[in-house]
Amino acid sequence: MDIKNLIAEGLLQPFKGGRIDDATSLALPLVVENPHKCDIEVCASQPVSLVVWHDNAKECALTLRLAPHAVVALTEVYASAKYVDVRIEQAEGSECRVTTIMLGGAHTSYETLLQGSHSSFKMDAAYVAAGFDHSVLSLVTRHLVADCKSASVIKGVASGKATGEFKGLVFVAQDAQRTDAQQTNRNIELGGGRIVSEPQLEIYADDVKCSHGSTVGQLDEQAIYYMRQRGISKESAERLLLEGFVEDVVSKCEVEALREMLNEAVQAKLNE
Amino acid sequence: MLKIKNLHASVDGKEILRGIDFEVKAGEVHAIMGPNGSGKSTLASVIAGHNKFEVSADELSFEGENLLDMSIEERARKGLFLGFQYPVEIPGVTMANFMKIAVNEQRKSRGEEPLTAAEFLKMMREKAKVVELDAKMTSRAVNEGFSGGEKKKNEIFQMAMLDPKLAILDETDSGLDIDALRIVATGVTKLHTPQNATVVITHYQRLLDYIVPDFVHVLYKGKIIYSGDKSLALKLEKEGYDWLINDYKE
Repeated sequence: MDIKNLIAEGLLQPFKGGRIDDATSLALPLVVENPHKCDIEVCASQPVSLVVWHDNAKECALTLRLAPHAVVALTEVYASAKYVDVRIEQAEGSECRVTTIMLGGAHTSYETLLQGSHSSFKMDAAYVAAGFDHSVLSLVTRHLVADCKSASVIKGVASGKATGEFKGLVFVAQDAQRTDAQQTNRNIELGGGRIVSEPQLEIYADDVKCSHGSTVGQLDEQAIYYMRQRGISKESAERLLLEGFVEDVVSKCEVEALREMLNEAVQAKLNE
Repeated sequence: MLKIKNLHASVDGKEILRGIDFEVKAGEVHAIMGPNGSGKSTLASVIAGHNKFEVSADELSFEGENLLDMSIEERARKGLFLGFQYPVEIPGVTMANFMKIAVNEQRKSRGEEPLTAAEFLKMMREKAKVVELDAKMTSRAVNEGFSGGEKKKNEIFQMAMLDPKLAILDETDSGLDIDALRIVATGVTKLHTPQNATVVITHYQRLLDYIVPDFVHVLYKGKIIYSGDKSLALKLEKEGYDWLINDYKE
C-alpha cells in the first residue's frame, strides 16, 4: 500500500500543513505524508478533503483547527506501528467527518474540542490487530458549548495473539446544553485475539442526548447461515463477513481513489 | 425431487416437527399454511440444514440424495433455495459481491468455469428485471437499509440468479403492500418451469391468487393434518383453521 502511486497518478495532491483557505487549490484531495509535527488550519469556504498518511514509525502530533463554518473530511490511515496524537478544534458551525483505518498496531489518541456552537463531529474508525499487534485507539470528544453534535462508530478486530483496545470518553461541559453525542464500539474477537473496550461518559449538563454502546462478539451466525444457504462455503462466508465488517468503515471514506487500495490493504491484513 | 418421511425436529429438547410426510415433484407448486407456531418456518429451516435443530427422519432426500449427510452450502449447491422470512443484513458486503461469490461457488461445485465480470453484470441486470429491482441496489450492502418490500424482492432476485431446482419461500408475502406483493409473486411465477418446483409458506390466500398451488397443506402442531387443492386456501381464508383443528384428534 503506497500513497505515492496515487499522487503520481494525479489523484491526490501533496500538502505540507499550514493554512487552507480560498487561495488553496482544492481540486484534488490534499494528502499529508508521515507528518511529525503538523498544524493545519482550515478557513476555506468550500469543503476540504484531507488525507493524513502514516506508514513510518515516527511519532506524530497533528493539530487540525476548523474556522467557523469550515467543513473537513479527514481520512487517516495507519499502516505501521507508531504513536500519534491528533487534536481537532472546531469553531462555530464547523463540521468534521473523520474516517480512520488502523492496520499496523498504532497507538492513536484523538481529542476533539467542540468549542463553537452548532459544530459537529463524526468519526468512523476501524482497527485490525493481527499477529502480535497491540492497537490502541483512544477518542475523547469534548462538548464545551451548547448545540453541538458528535457521532462515533469504532470497529475493532483482534486475531492471533493481538490486542485491540478502545478507550472512549464523551465529555459534556456544564454549559453544553442540547448536546447530541453518540458513541458506539463494536468488536470481533477471533482465535486468541483479545479486545479491551472502555467507553465512558462524563456529563455535567442536564439537557443532553447521549448514548454509548460497546459490544464484543464473534461473527454473526445468522448472516453466515444466510450466505451458506446461497451456496457459499462456511469459510468464505466467515471471511466475507469479516471483510464486510471492516470495509463498511472504508466505504465511509470520501476519497474514492483511496477506497480500493484500503480494501486491498484490509484484506491483506486479515490474512496475517 | 424432495421426499420427506416421518420427519421429526426439536430444539432445546422441545419437539417442533412431529412426523412430517411430504413430497414435491418437478413442476409442482405447493403451499403450506397453518396457524402461527405450527412449525412452518422450522420445516423450511430443517430442509435448508440449519444446525440448531436435532433432526431425525425415515427419509429426507433431494433428487435421491440424503440431505442429512449434507452441509447447508452443499444442499444449496444441489439446487435448494430458501427465501428467508427475515432476510439478513450484511454490512460492508455488497449485493454484487455476495451474488458473484454465491454464483461462482455454485458453478465451481458443478465443475463449471466462473463467470467473467461482464457475463456476471449482464446476468445481474437481466435478473433484476424479474422483480423490477433497481440495478443500483446491487452496489449496496446486502439488505442493509432496504425497505420490507425491497428485502423480499431481493430474495426473489437471488432466486433468479441462482436458478434453483426447488425454492422454498418462507412468508415471502409478509409485510408487503399490494404492489410489492404483485411484483414479488409475479416474479416467482416467471421463474417457474416444468423442471423446477416451488413451496410457498404463507398465511394468506392473496399470494396464491398469483402463485396458484397444485396442493395446499395445513401444518398444525408439527404435523401436516390436511391436504387439498387450491380451493382449500380459499376455504381457510373464509373460515379460519378452527374447523380443521377441532376435527383433528391428537
